[in-house]
Amino acid sequence: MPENSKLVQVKNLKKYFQVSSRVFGGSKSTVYAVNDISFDIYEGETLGLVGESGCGKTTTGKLLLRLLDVTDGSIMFEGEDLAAISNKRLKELRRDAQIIFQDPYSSLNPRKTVSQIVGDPLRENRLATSTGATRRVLELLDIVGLSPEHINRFPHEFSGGQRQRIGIARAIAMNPRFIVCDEPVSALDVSIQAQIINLLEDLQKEFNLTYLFIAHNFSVVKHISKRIAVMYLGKIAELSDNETIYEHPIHPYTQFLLSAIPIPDPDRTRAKKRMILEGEIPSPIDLPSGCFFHPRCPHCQEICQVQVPELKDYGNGSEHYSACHFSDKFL
Amino acid sequence: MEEVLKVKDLKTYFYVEEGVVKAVDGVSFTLKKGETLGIAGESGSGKTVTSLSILRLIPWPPGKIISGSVELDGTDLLKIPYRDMVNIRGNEISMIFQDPMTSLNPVFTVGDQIIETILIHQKVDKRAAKKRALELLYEVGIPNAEVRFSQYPHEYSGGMRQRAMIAMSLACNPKILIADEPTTALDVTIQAQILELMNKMKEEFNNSIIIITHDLGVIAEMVDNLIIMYAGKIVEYSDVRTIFYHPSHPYTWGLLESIPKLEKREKRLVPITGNPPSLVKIPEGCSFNPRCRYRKDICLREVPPLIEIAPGHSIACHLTGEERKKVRAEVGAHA
Amino acid sequence: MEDTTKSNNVNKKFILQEQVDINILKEQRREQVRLSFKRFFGNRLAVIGGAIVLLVIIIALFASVFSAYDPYEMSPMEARAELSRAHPMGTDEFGRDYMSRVFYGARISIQVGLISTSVATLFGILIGGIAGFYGKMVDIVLMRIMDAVLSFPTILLAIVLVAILGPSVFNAMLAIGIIYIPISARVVRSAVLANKEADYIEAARAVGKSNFRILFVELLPNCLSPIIVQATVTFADAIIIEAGLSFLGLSAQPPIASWGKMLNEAMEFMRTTPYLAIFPGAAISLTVLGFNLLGDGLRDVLDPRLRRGGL
Repeated sequence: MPENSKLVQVKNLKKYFQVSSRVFGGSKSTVYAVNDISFDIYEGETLGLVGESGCGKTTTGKLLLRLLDVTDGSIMFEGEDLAAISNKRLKELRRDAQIIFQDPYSSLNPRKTVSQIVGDPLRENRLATSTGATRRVLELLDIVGLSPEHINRFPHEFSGGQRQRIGIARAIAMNPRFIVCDEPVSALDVSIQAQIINLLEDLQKEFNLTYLFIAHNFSVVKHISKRIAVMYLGKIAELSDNETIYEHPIHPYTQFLLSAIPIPDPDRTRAKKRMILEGEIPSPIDLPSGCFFHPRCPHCQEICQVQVPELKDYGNGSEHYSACHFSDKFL
Repeated sequence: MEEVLKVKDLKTYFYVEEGVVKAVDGVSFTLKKGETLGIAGESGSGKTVTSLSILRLIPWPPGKIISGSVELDGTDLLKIPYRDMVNIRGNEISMIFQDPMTSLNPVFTVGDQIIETILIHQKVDKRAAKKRALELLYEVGIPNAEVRFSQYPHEYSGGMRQRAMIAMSLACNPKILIADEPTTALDVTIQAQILELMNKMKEEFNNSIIIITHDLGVIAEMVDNLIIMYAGKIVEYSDVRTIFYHPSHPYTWGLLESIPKLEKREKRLVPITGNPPSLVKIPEGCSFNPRCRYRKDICLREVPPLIEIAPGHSIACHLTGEERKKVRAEVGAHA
Repeated sequence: MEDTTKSNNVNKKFILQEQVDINILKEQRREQVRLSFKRFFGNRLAVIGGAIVLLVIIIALFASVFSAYDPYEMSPMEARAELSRAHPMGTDEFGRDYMSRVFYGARISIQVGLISTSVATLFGILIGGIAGFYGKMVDIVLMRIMDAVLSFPTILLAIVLVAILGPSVFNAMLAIGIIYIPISARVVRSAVLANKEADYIEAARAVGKSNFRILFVELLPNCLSPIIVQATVTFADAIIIEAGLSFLGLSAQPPIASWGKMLNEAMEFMRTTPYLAIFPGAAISLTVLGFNLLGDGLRDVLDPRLRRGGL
């Protein structure tokens, strides 16, 4: 891990949304979508980002590509701070960082052909002539497993899995180094998910890609990621490599999360001691004081209600971060 | 145990511009009292249409239940006058859907919707109905039931809405609860709560449940018996442990192999090649044959019937017992 | 089971399959255009609509050829005559051949419809598109201006505008167009709002497209359907409003007449010679119907989702 260089370094990233109940004046509330997170992504690896609704993982993905403006913090990518650079420089850097979307039905413009959709990045950034772009599109279609005849078809003529392949072809068109995968297989059938996951892994090997893999399905994330960050209410609860986090979670939220996952194995899953996490997932507007998880945490103590726990490294040698006052008890 | 529901050779087709969609093409199964039956399959497998057919909720045009029988305690629901189905729905057989936001009416309070269900089916006055509704909200674990009663669906969270739906569906103590992807739209910790609630309710109300989902984890967690559907037909039908530990249909093998396993560290997933078929152009012979590694000549020509290969274990496949054994030996039995 | 997805190709270097000629793909494209035409002509209603529109336009363009008489030539002796071979549509109260007047009236009415609709739709797209896409203050300010215009009774506003601009057919067309901008803008704005959050818009941003290009190249083409429908409605309304303006003397000045004007003037004679109202009325209805059907057909053809593929 530390042998490779860090491709992306996120420091104290914050994204707050202002929501007001009325147009003029009226009470303004703040949505703390991403609330001071820091992590690194090493070149060539896949960092998984899991969490439930409202945890901020999708927002984080979009912030990393500056599809949303940053409220505070920095995103170092290729030596520059994406949060602060000019639009012109951003457009240049965008060639190196792309995104794959979740919904294969809305991520492709229904009025454009495959050739236009996949070739767009090239034409927009003047990376190829018209014929050159078409050639490249054919190349890309081949790489992602589609046939050349598909080039003039429209999105609605394809199945969900094929559309996702088109989205992937678009993402790799400009030979990026970093791709944010925002729930790329969640909307697909189970038997197709495996195809797409394999494709992503193959592409990673072939082109030395770095992924931020965002999903709510932990099994998928564990399979494809080297390291995993668990997010809750805009913050990182725990971050470690995939095996460690699954076998020895040291943050209570992670423990509940893993316990809740139904395993496709009847004996195992029914024998498992199920820890049911009570209560609702709070909204990122009314944040609890102190530790963001304390209202639902069975181990909550006084300090948890008052002091926000820092993300500390509890691993000896290997990285194992957790944001809990009592993580050492779980080691 | 007594049989509560007996579905025999159910066929539901949809007549659309492109042709005939054979959404459900000859499905048979039974449901016993107190049993939880799972119907698993991917999109287009026909699992949702099967459940809608049981309640005769298929819109015509373009859909029609062509043939078959659905016997509830001996009465064939497909033969009774359509208007009598009103007494069945919500009363004898209830259904909860995937997206609780769209299945609850946003302009009525939750309390009113539950009361409505009660009043339609039972001869009680409004006050008694309200009392029952409050009891139900409390039982399904909605805190502060008095206040929540008068709130609107959008004031509830996703998990709470699903609880409200469960409350509504159990209001008249139905014999069967059909749950169509009940937790797919929910976060995993909330899903765990809802699944636990469903089990708890089953113990209390002693009803039978049919769970329809594509999530094999949920299936493993909840069901006693399991049907695997593909392209409108049943391909494997047995109890849950047999299907997970001794699957015998190539599609089931494919499904189980292609999901990432938490326990094992796998280098590479093994997907099922190809795509699910378009229901207008279902392949000849066994509908799974284009994607099946083990297909033989006969698979291209003849539709395999659903045959019992062991007591309580049926599959629809042309592979012989010998051939199956060989495959298992090569690949390694799934467990 | 073995995984036979195209992962093998990933390990190859970029090998372009020369056998796939670019020209073949261009041919494919042309084929698709041909298919679009086929689809349009396969839609019977659209073809009928198109035929009607074509007929009306030809009549408008070549009115002088089709008319046997000078539409302005008065012949008081023959006023309000019976339908006859000489005058298949009779004569008006001044003895002018009605059929010629109907043919010449086509010019005015088509122009009115087209120009008003164009003005309304073009500016509606601009204003509605920008308001819907950029949102916030821009949206609020623009839409409140639109609301202000909408709050005036249509005819009143038309009268005021024409009075300011000066009574003439062209100014009437402009005025009507201006009045319909807010309605068009609203339609465009809601279509934009509906499609704005789609992932493909975000994808376009991720690729580096400017907001301008995203709005006009990616987003608006997907909003065409309601815009076209609204345009056909505006077309019909425009003709009717122009009739009102004509009646007040604010549009076509006599002896030039639009169908709407002829319709209005014929009201007086409904009891005795109803055909004076029927012919222009039928002309309006037919033209409007034609544009409606054509609009529907266009909308269907332009929506790729309705194209049958081959997969």
